[in-house]
Amino acid sequence: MIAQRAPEDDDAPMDGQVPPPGRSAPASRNSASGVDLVAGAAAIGAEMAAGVAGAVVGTLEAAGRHLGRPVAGLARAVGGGPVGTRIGRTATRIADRGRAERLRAEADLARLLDAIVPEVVRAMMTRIDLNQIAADIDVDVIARRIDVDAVIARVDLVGITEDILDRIDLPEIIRESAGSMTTEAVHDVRMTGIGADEAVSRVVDRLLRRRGARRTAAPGQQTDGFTEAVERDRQEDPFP
Amino acid sequence: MTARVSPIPHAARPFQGRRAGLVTRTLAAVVDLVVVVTAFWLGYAAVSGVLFAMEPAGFQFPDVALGPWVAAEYVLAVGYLTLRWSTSGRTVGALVMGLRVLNRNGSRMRPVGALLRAIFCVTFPFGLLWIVVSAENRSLQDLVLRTSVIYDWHRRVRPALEPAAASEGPA
Repeated sequence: MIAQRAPEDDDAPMDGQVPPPGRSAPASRNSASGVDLVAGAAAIGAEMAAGVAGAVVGTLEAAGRHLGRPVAGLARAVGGGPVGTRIGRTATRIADRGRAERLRAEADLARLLDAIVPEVVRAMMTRIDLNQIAADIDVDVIARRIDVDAVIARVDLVGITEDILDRIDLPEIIRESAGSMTTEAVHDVRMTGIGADEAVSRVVDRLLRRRGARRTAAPGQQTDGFTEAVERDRQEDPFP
Repeated sequence: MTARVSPIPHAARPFQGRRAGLVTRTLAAVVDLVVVVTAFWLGYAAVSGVLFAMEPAGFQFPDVALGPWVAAEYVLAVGYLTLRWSTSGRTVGALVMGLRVLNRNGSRMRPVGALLRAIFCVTFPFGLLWIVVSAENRSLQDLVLRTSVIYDWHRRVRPALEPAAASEGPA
């Protein structure tokens, strides 16, 4: 069973996952709630203290207007604005310190896991017989679940067949096994003619000091592989 | 989609669609000459047979003077070449040697073009020798009429490719 994750936990890492080395784990809302609660309470307390102090100061100032400036100055010195601001700053410092401690603890935990987990996995691997596990796997069950037709549909069978037939030179095999003597003789005559044509051309081109192969491609004809064939003939030429 | 396997041997494939050289084309021409001469004498024998059947007692082989004989061979050769080049693009000699005649577009020749080429070839057969010095393996007839004689071992005429699709040889 795969545990359902709450939508608000999208930022939290999956259970059992270790953050990559060198990176601290992202702050989990659940794990940080206690610390953040303290920090938040401190901040709220500071704000409330500042509000209360302000109200007291206002009251005292109103009374001061009646009691005179000395009393008002005393009230401002005892419970006025400077005191509330001081409390707020203290709470903020406490919250910052709490956040820093939490991040440091998370980084320490990540480093600890980086060091321990590989060793644990390695130790597990030495104690597990993978061959035995593989032997226990029922391949037939897996094979039955494979959609062979879908796999075949994605394979270019025609292209593969053409490539195989082209590489094994099937026509030549058929000719050798069942071809008539006439066909074989005709092919021999034709190939001999082509060889003689090439030889004559080479000799004449050499006499004419002509460089490069002849431009024998006819219009509208596919003539792949000719350059390689000419180069091969030149390399096999006994009279270079 | 159907898998197609070329019936051409590996060694000959690179030359398919290339203009043929002097030796192959000369051998093809010799075979055609034998065909034409043989056809003439077969015709002569047929005419003689008819004459013998009509008048066995007074039968004599018909005299064939040099002029009419040459003229008949000439017409026979021109007709034979025109017919073959405008239909399959290959004569018997070309069939034996694996050649095919194409027009300037790489397609089968039209009757008029085939007739002109046949007249030119039969009148001046030595134009074939220009293949030796031509950098494009063209005979004199090919140069004038812009035709090509290619190695083509396939049974049927393949449709000509677009100019951009046909690969040009090394310069």
